[in-house]
Amino acid sequence: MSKEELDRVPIMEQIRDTVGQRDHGRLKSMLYGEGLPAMSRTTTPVEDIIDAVLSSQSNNELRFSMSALVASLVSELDLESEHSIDAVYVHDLLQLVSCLPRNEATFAALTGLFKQQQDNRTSPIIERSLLWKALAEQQTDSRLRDYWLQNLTNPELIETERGRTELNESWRGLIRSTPKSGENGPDYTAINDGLVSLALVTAGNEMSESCIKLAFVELNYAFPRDDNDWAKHFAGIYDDSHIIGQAAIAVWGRSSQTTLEPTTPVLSPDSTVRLFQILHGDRIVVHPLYAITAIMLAIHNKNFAPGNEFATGRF
Amino acid sequence: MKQTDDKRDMLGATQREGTPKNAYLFDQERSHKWHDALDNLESSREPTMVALAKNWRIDPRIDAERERNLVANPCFPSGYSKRSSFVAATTDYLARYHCRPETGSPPPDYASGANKSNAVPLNKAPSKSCELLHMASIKTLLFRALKSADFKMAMMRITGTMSIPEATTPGVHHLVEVLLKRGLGSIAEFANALSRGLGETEPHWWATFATDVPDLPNGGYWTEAVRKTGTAEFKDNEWLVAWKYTVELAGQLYRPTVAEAGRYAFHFPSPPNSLYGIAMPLAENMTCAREVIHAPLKGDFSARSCLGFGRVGNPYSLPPGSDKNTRLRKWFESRRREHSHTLAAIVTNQDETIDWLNRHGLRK
Repeated sequence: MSKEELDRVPIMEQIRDTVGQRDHGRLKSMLYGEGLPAMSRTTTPVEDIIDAVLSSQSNNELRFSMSALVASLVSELDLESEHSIDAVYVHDLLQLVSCLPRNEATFAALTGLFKQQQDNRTSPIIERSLLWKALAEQQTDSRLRDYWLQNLTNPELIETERGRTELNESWRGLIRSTPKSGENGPDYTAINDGLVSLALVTAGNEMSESCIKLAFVELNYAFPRDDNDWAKHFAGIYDDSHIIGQAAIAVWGRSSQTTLEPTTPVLSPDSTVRLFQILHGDRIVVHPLYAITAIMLAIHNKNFAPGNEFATGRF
Repeated sequence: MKQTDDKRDMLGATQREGTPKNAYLFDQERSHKWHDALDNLESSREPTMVALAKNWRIDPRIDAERERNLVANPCFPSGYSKRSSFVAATTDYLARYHCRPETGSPPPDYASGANKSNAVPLNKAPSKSCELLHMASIKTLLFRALKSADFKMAMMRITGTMSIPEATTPGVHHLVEVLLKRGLGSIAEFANALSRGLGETEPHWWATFATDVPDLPNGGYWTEAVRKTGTAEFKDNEWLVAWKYTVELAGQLYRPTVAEAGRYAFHFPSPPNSLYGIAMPLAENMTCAREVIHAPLKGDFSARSCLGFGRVGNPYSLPPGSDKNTRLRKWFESRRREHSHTLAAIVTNQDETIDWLNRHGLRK
C-alpha cells in the first residue's frame, strides 16, 4: 500500500462505518473534521472526504450510499433559521453533493433549498454558483431547464468573475438536464437556445469567445462524440463568420462536411421572446451583428406565433 | 512548575467548582474549561489527535491577549465538556477566521491586533532581499480554483488545449507534463491564474527561509525540502508547485502558532522567545528550517515568484509493524523527542528552551 493509500485508511474506515450505519449525524460531524486524522494544515475535511470517496479505495456502491445519506443533511437545512444555519458547513456540504452520484431525494432536497434561497433574499447564505453546481450535478429530471435558459439570458453575469462562473454553471446545468423526450442523446433544441443566448448576452465583452469555447468543451465532456460529429453539427448551423461558428472551429476544427442549411431549429419560440425582451431593454448594448443574427434566426424559424412580441410588433 | 500568571487567570481560565484540575494550556499550568475537550483528544486511539492536543498544551506563543481572543471565539468550546470536539473547533476557526483578505475588515486572525506578539517586528525583520519558499499541492489548489469559470478559460489558453485540467492524480500529472513542455512562461501564467482562481479566501502561506532547504530543480524531486519543512500532508509521488520570493514581496511575517496550524499534528510549537517557527523535520538527522506565515502572494507577484513544479517521494516512513496507529504513535514519539533535543541544542535562549521542554517532558 502506498503512503497515499495508507493516509486514506483512517478516513475510509470512518466513511465506511458512517455509511454502513446510515449515520448522517456522524457524516455532519466529519465535515467539521471530527473522526478524521489531523494530517493536513491546508486541506479542509470535506476535501479529504471527497478525495477518499473518489479514490480507487472507494467504490460506486459506497458513493451511491453516501449520496443517499447526504439527502437527509440537505433536506434539514433551513435558511430561515439564522441561528441553525452555518455558511461554512453548507458550503462544504454542497461541495460534497456536487461530487456524488445523482440521487432523486438529494435533488428534491436541493430544489427545496433553491426555493428557500430564492424566497430568502435578505440573507445570501449560499454562494449561488455553488448551489447551481450542486443542482446541475444532481438533477434527475428536466424541471430546471427553463431556469438554466433564463439565467443564460442575464446580461449582467458576463461582467464579473462570479457572474461568469454562474453563466458557466447554468450552461452545465442546461446540458446536463435530462432530455424531455427521454432520449439518450443531448437535447439539441435546448443546447442551441442556450448557445445563442450565451452568444448574445456575452456579445461585445472580451470574454465572449472564451465563454463560448468553454461552453463547447463542457458540452463535449457531457456528450462525448467524435470531434467531427460536433464540428459537422455546428457547421450545419453557423458559418465561420459567426462567433459560434468560429468557436466551434477553434474547439473541434473545421468540419469535413459543411452546409449552411440549418439542420435543427436554432432558437425555440420561448427563447426568442426572452432574447428580444433583452434586446429591447435598456440594460444591454448588443453588437448590431448579434441583434441582426437573432432577428434573422427568429425569422428563419418562422417564429411568429400570436402573443409573441415578434408577431405583435411591440418590440 | 511555571508560575501561573494572575492576569491570564482572569481571561477565561476560571476554576471549575468541585474539579480543581490543573493542566497545561499554552504553556501555563492552571484550570481551564478547555481541558476536558483536550483530554478527550489525548485519550484518542488516533495518534495525530494526541500530538494535536499536546501542541495546544505546550505552545508558549499564545499570549494573554491572543488567548482572550480565542476563548471568546464562538468556534471554540464555551464550557466544560468532554464532547466538545477540539478538532472541529480548530477546523472551523481556520475556515472562518483565517481565510480572509489580509487587509480586509476584519482581517484574518493571524494579522489581527490580538496576534501582534507573533508579528515579526520591523527592527528584527530579515533583509528585504532574503528569500522565502512556499510549496503547495497542485491537486489541492486545482480542486479549489476549478470552481471559477475564469480559471477554466485561463487554463485552456495557457495549456493551448481545448480541455479543462482535472484535479485528480493523473489529471495533475498530465497538466504538469504539458506546462513543463511549454516552459517557465506558461508556469508563471498558471501561477497567476491559480492565485486569481483561489480568490480572496485563500489561506495564509506557510513559508520557510530558502537558504534552509536545498535548491528545488524544476521538474525534479523535492523530497528533502518537504521533509525538512515538516510538510507531511503531501502524498507519495505528488506534484507540487513552489514559489521563491523576497521578504519584501511577502509583506508582514508572522511566527506561526497552533491556532494557524489547524488540523495538523505534524506541527511543533517553537520555543519561547523564538523569533520564527522551527519546523519539525519528518526524518532523523536533518537540520531544522525556520518557518513563518504570511498573506498569500497574489496575481503578478505570484506569477513572477513561481519556481516551477517538483515531485515528492515518500515524505516520511513509519517504523515497521502491523498496526498503523501503533506505528504512527511510535513515529510521533521519536520525532518529537529528537526534535526537542535539536531545539535545545540550536536555539540562542537555551536555558529557557530547556526549561520549557523539560516542563512538558519532551526530552525524556
